[in-house]
Amino acid sequence: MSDAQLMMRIDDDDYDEFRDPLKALCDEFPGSYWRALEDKPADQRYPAEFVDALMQSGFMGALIPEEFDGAGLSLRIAAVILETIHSTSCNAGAAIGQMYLPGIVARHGSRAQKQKYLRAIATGDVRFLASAVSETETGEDLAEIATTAQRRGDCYVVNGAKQWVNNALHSDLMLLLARTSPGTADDPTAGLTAFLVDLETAFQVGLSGHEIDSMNNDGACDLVFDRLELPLDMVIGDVGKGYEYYKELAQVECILYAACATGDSAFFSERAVSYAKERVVFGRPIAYNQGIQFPISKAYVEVQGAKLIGNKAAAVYDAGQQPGPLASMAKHMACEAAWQMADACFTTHGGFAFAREYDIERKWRDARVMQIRPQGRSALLSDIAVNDLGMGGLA
Amino acid sequence: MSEQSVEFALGEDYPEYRREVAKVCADFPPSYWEYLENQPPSGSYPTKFVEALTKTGFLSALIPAEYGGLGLPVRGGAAILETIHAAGCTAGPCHAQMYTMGTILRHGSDEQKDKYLPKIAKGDLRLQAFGVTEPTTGSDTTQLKTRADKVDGGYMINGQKVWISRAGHSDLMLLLARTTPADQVEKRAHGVSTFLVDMRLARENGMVITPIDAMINHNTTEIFFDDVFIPEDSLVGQEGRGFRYILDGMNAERCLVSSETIGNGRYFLRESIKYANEHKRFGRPMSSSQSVQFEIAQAYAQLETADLMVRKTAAMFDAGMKCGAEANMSKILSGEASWACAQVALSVFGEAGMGKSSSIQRKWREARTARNSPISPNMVLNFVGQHVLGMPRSY
Repeated sequence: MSDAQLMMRIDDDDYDEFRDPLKALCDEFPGSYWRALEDKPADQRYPAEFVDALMQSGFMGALIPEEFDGAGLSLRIAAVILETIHSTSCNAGAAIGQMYLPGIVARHGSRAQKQKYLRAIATGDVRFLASAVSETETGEDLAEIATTAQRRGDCYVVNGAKQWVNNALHSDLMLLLARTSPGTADDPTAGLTAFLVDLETAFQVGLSGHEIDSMNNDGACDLVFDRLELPLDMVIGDVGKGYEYYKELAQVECILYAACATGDSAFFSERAVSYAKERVVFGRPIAYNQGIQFPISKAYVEVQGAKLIGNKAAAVYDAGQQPGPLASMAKHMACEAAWQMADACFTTHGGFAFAREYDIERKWRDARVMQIRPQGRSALLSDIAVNDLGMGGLA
Repeated sequence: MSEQSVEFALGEDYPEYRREVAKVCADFPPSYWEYLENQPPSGSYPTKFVEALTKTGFLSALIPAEYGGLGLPVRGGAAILETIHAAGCTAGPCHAQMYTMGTILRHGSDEQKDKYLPKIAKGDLRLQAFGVTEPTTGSDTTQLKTRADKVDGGYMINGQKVWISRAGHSDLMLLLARTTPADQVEKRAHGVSTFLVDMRLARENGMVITPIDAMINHNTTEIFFDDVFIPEDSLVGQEGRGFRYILDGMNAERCLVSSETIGNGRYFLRESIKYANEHKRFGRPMSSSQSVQFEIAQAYAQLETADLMVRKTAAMFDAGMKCGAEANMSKILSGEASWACAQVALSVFGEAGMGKSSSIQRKWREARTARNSPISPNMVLNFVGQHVLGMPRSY
């Protein structure tokens, strides 16, 4: 990597001007709010009030360029915002798309698309929270995407099914990756095209969906496309280049999810330390026991390291370079460290870790899922191995 | 923005020094090191390598230019040491020449600085030995029993030190000894003094050095003091304050040895990737197997993470900031990362890595010791638990 000239700045507890108001906002949505949502049926769990508050705060428009009324902030600050949200009882999953999905429009969209959507997304009037990529038979192998978009006169007709699409029932816009032509022998991911889907219209004719009842509340949906018609002007960028655009977007996604994981780590370490100091067993606080203290300290060290890799990836991006596999590394390390911290916190709390009122088990489930989504451990390690270290691709 | 702000370079910093160092190292291939390992302690010191390095002036990297050194910041020294280790060589036999002088530089008298530093910078005087550890203390340094009793014109040293590396190849030694009995001081850390001992004289006055046969060729020794007289001007700084002086130097030392550990990691990864790409198993390159790929990618991600912590520590140290936590975290992160690299290297090479003609096994042994010394990972976790996370002292 030739980043010798690139400098990286480290500020401990930097950007308090973002952290402080966000913490105050998140304090309005304590653990009890999130627990009550989880008690509801799958189709009623969306944290609508929390998302409303976030949209109104303007924080989610951090990355939208200033010319479209966004804040035009650095990726580093966007990461700070998400890290802060996750350091509380809250989870940004229901709103995180608003922060990075518009990037595909900002980078590759037409002038008309930018004018029409970016400004409204920046103000929160239009929500862009959903991204329909994964399918039952694809997993991480996007070349296998079977959902098709066929040109019919002045529109594309979409047929197929997507799954694990977060927030599709609570968003105005959705990013769709569909096949417009077959892949080639050289490039099996060629022929995938990125579309914008206006969900309100789509759900009237051609699209149906329902929320998946899953172990964490991330609003994931199954979607079925049955002759959904998309106007030509909903194609993003060039036809057939969707995979390329998505890979670019995924780098930003990785860096932001890494920040979420780091925020979770802060939540867990704070809870673990304070519980260990107050919980008395065998006549003294359990923090005196190295069996308790060391796993917390060890995980904390891993978290501090992971933060640096996340900062580096953001610094590279903010310097106008493609972070590439560095983004994968950031997410991988942050999620592994968060899981370690989550588990140390879980162990520290003993039986009380299971008690829902402590929020440990909820955040712990979230931390585990973060190792799988949006990019899983294997995909991240493969990216590093193949694209950074030059080892062989899958045979 | 907080005051605690540092900036550091990413990528190959100090490229001109790295190039020069690599050139020197190219003359010392694996066969050189393997040959030395098979010699008895009396002949196992890499004299030629140390001489070659000394000629380049790199070992004086941290000595200010006014005393004839290169006057580099700690990060410069770190880049040099990392390069040595990445090349498959080891700086262990001479790295102390780089940093042990720091105690003289920071706490010595003008006379001591003028007398010793220029000669150390030139390599005419070797300050390679650091006499702190004793057989009964381990990490509990203030329990040291070696005494320096005030006598006419100087001090009389009695006691024993252990794991004193390079003592047989050094002209000077920094020695920590008790000048006031532990039961007469308020805190155990008080009453301990630092001395700069001229070993050439001490050898004639009752100091006996015995080599320790160890798993790596680190030229380490045991030293016995039996009524060894040292002159008054051997005292560094104030009597009774020595423990503080030693601690002061430790952050730089930890940063520097962590860089060596990172260098070892780079060595392992480079060799493993090459081997895995070039050797076929079951009809395809080993590197196509995820069992190989993922383990390498994981180790690499850890190494890149640790590298950033080392850079952060150096930047903070060079900016005069407190960096105890970072130095400790560097040590543990680099140690674990390098060990992950070492393990995967030995797995990838299999039996080919075990033979004494392979540097993989030699470096693997080095990588393991780096996790124990110069500080125990348990003491790092104690530090983080107590001083960073605010948990009680557990030991």
